[in-house]
Amino acid sequence: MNSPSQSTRPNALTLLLIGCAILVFASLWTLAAEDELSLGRKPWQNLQRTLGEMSEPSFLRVWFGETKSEVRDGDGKLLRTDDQQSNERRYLAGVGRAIWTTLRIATLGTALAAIIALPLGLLSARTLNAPRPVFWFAKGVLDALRSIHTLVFGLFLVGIVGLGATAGILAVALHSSGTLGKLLAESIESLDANPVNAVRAAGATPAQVFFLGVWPAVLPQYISHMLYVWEFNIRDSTILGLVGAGGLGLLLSEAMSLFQWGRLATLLLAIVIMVTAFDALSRAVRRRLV
Amino acid sequence: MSAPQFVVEARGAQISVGANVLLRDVNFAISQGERVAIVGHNGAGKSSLLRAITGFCDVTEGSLRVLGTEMNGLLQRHTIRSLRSRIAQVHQGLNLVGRLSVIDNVLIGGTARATSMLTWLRRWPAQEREAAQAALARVGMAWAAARRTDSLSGGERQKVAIARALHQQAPVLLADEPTASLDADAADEIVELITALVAERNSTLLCVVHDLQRVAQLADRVIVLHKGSLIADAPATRYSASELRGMLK
Repeated sequence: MNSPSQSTRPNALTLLLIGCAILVFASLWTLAAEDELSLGRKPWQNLQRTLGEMSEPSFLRVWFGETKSEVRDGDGKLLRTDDQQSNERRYLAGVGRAIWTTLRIATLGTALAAIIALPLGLLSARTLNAPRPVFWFAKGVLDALRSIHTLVFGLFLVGIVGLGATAGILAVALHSSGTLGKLLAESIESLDANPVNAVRAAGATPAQVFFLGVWPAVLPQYISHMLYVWEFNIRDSTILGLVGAGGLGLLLSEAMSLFQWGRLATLLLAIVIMVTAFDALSRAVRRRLV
Repeated sequence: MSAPQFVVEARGAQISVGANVLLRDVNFAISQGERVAIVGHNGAGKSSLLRAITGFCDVTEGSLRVLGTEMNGLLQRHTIRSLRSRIAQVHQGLNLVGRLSVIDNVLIGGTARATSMLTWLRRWPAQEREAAQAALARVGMAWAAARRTDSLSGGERQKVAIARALHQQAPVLLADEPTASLDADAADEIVELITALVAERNSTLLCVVHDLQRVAQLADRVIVLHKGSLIADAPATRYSASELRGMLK
């Protein structure tokens, strides 16, 4: 029977909800006090104007836009005549190349992450009983890698290996190996121990126990997690160019700096189509795996 | 070195986890070729005893000798591995690796013999493959060798588990509720298979039995555990199923 003190004590969920509510109100209150919750001046007009400009994606000019565009100096003297359609075609070709770079950054970054994550994930799985110092080292490395955002790694790596895709690949690999390693360790920890112990009970060596008992059970989950992280990295890689680490982000940054909202709309559409297509592909493969 | 007098010998054996005593002052000795049923309710200490025999938990007081080895928690890893290789097990539930093929699961029984690194990649010596195939044929499952194990029924999987134990070629067979979760026909088949194989090889059988009707079918001797203590050790025919049930109340 519960004692009166036990029955009147709030349960963990209530305490959690109260804690969350306090945190939300404290955040709102302090930000408001610091005048950091402002929406700026004329937010609605700004929103309408931006949406209006973005409602005409630049790629439409290839078919419907002005063919010629005259560039004149201050006195009205004709300097040159540009072919708008061919300009836009060149721009779209550049977008295609940037998408291809983004995909390669995400793919190579994820592949490298899968290699880095494998030993760290295995060593940090409690049920595999690695020596304590090794376990804590592997777990610490995974936690550190996971807690630093890809973009921050990107900034850091651009300073080391220079501008371009290499920095992007390494940034994606470092952050993702933290995530993949943790997911691998958790998959191993949640495995049914009985089949693994049955292999051990036959007199198998520790390596045989791993390769014959643990690995076959955990491999499909690991591949599924890799695909999920790859899917995530394709999204993440689109912004890496903002810090000079290659891919679509560079074009995004350029369009935003020059207030080319039509081109920004083209880029966002390209990103949405690419991410949706690869999400669907990855989901389909993962469904067949598990 | 002469063969040990007993396959399993417990003298005042006790197993505790913290303050919780799982098995208390247990005494018995099992000779080569005996068929022994262990009965008792959940929590009686049956599984703890089997785990101690295979070195998965330690005897905290008294002595437990298995195939001449003192199970005192101070054993080297290779000694435990060698001991385990001489004790085949058929577990309660389905302790096979579901994503591996049936033949690979059977071959796992021979891991103590085939220790090459190639076995990590499931590349087994030819004679091991032949022996595993023969073990599968013996339990009537040769047709399923290439099938994925998790595609089989409960009864079929239990036969594969028996084939794995057979392939281990061990002098002792531990079976932990081998007919649990099987329908009556499948359970009959498994009991017949285990008794036939034990007789063929003159193996020692130590079998945890949940269905008390099957004690006399499976064993010549019964050990009754109740709340961690051994309360009876007698020929299997001495007690009827209802008498055993009465002892466990």
